[in-house]
Amino acid sequence: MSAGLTSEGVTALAPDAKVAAAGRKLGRLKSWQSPGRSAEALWGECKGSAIYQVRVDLSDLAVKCSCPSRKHPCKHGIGLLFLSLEAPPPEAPPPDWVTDWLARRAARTAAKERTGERKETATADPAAKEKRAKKRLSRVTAGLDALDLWMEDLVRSGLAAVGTKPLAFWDEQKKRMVDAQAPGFASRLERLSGVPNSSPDWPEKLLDGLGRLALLSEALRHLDALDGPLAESARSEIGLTLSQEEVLQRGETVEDGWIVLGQSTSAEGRLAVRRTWLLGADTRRYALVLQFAAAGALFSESFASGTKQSAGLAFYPGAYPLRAVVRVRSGPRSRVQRLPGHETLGAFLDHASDATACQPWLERLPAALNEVVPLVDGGHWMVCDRDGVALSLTGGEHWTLLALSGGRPVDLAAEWDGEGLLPLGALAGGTYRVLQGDE
Amino acid sequence: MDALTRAAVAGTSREKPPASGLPTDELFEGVAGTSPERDLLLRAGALAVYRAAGRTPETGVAPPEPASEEALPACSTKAAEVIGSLLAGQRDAILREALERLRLAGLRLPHTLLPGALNVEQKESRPAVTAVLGELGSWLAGFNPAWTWATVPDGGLIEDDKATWQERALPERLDALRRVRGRDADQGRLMVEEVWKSEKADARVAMIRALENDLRPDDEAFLERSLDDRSVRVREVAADLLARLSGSAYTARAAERAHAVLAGYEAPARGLLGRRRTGKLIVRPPAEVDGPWRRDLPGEKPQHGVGEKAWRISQALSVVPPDHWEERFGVDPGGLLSAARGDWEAALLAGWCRATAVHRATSWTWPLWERCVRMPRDADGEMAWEVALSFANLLPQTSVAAALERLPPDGEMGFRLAATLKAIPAPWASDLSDAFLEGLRKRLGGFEVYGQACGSEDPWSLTLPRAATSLHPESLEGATGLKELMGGWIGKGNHIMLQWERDLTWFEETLELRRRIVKEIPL
Repeated sequence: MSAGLTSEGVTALAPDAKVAAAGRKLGRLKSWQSPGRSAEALWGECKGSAIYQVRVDLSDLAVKCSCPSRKHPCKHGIGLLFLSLEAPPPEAPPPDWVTDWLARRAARTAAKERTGERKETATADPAAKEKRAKKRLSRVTAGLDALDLWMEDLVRSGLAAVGTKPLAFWDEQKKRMVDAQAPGFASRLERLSGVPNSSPDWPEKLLDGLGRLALLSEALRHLDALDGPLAESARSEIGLTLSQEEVLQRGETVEDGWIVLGQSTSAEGRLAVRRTWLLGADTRRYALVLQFAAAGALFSESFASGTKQSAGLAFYPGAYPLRAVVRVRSGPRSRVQRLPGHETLGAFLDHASDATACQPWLERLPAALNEVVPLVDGGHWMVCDRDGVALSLTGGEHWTLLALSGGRPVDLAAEWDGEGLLPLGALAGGTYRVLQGDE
Repeated sequence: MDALTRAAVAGTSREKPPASGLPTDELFEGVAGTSPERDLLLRAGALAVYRAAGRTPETGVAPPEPASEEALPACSTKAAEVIGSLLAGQRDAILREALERLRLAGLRLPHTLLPGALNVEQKESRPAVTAVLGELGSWLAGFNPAWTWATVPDGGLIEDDKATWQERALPERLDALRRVRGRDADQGRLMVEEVWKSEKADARVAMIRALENDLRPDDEAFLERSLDDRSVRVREVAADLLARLSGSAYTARAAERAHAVLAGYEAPARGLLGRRRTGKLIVRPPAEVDGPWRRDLPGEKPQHGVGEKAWRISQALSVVPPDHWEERFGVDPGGLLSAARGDWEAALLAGWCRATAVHRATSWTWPLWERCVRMPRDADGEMAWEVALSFANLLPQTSVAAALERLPPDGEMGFRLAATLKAIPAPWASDLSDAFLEGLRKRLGGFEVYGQACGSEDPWSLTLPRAATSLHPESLEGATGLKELMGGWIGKGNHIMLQWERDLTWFEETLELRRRIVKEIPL
């Protein structure tokens, strides 16, 4: 159908496996009353313990249902999407309860666009704003002083001792960074706390991580000396980011057909962080949409991996702008047949070097790779290109990827952490498949 | 470990970090740290970024030889969804049915399901998986040591199997043995004989049991020697196999021993008052058991409550093919069974049941079953009944169906019929399947008329799990609306009726799943 979804894609939109299974059961015509479809939306009334009105905005797959479920999208919404694959509802003029909702959404989007301007006028007192920013920076700096002392202590007494420290040793520092309003440092510490004893070369990795932290804390003490964009990058690495409104207002906007390369989710403290990686079909630009949700809660925006849709993205400023906000999505969604990615792994590494040179604190980069062959050799997973150049895969075993390739080249969407690629999706035989570690 | 890391690991209080010599030194001119520690950290950070930016890939890597083109088409997306859920849900019996249908339909698994299918834990499911892996599946299995079971081609080399036999763990050795035995029975046996003396009892039992397929006269000498094995379990298996080897010295000894026990048959004749008497078997229980008897019949001690003599009679009969008696006395199974009535009836039945199962004497199964099902519930009766269950797989299903059709109006079923149904392997014939569903409907509808079920464990509920996976595919279509037959009992029953509801819900869900399989994988 026009939304370019597959049943796999719909399953991926469900908040958990239970909702996906329940939704699949509801994806039959007998569960629905007068389902319908227009260019913008999909709707129907689902016969459950009561009659629920379910609607889907096809432009961004937002779902609204009148049921009381706390899960989002609920099983009825997922069911309606499954129905649209099984038995596409007829084209029809949308009923009032659908048009009203679409109108309210459109109004909200317009309001969001305007907020930036209004905020600007509201905070007309730039002196007050600057004062607030200064105050925060001084708190952060105080926190960094403590962190620097702690790190220096570590190397003075030797990293060997860190291997025997309990997790509380790290937690304490993490808490201090949160208190100092430097969440970026807290999450870097969180990742470092997993390094000791995780591999034979953990001391190197730990020193790498501590060194990068030191570089970043050093940079924050010389913000005035840095280029504007690089200073912006340093500020955002520590967590001093612009608000979405500010980005929508001030950020560079790029219009393109954006391909959803894939998603990865990780836990940071009690927050779930979802990274959605995008690639502009014409601009060949990468973008990252970050979403946060409290444990068990929902991510507000849905993206269907392996599809392409016209959208305007507003980028956060920085030396290598990657993070972006979706300004507006429009037009039909289509499934991609190929990824306009890097032709060779060498070309990708060049790109990664350039990006790192621009923004030395980059931790992750997306990678759209053309025609690579996955392989496993004595438990070591890799992809290699036509030149016989190979990069390691991270994240465990990748049997599904190997099965999809059958020893032949596939297009791979992955996340690069500087050492290896975490596969997020693969295009084989013109079909995109979501990959998640392995079963 | 470079000098910088070494200093950091040992601690700057012990080891001085190198003053220079790093590729990033140039970047640090004029940016000195305030302390040696700070200096070390900053330089390590710069080095980390420098290395990350200059990460070099491995080169000269050769991709694997690609898999051959698939010869078979993949199943439909919807069929793949059903199979995917079965793989995730550990429904092995239904999974096997679905895979078997795939094979019959000339289809294979889609590539995305291959890792899940190769990870099936149930060994019984593996042959069904192997048959639908396609080219890519076999190719994929070659990369994972845990999946070697899927890679051995049917016509593999005996040499490979011999290597496995020498080097691997017991389960793999047995697989290799069975393969060799399948291709060259003598060589298989010789492999066992070579290692026999050095193996433990458990291994010997499993190995000698593995000879049971393709049993041949050349095996006799080895089996005969094994009757003197140290382990009683080995001796039991050896006796069991020898009894199946027609023409062996063992079967001659067994027949001779049995003739002494079942000494004669008196044909039916009209009695004095014109009343017809049935035939009569003359039974002479062995007075005492000698060494050769114990050697040929090494079975365990009689179970509690069964007399020594009854046990010896059944033992003696169990190693003689049942049709031997038809020939010897010129009487059919029905006649012999009527003539068995008397003090030793249970012992005779138990012996014949065992012999029927071992020799697959199909003409004996139904008459024997009908007699055993009516045996009293004492120790002797149970001994006969339990052995009768061992040939449930050979029972004529039409006769079992007829037994179901004869159930009383309230549909109540005996535990022994239920146990029999449980033992009949899948798939059931369609007449048995239909009779089962009809009986179940009678039972469920009967609750309204005759009141609720009373026992907490109803024989019907014992049969539901087996029936759910065994009913013939053609009978599934009509098997709906069963729970509704409970009528007023739904939702307000006590725990017994609630259990019925739960069982039926599960039963109907399973049937619905199978209906989907039948629909999505048409033959």
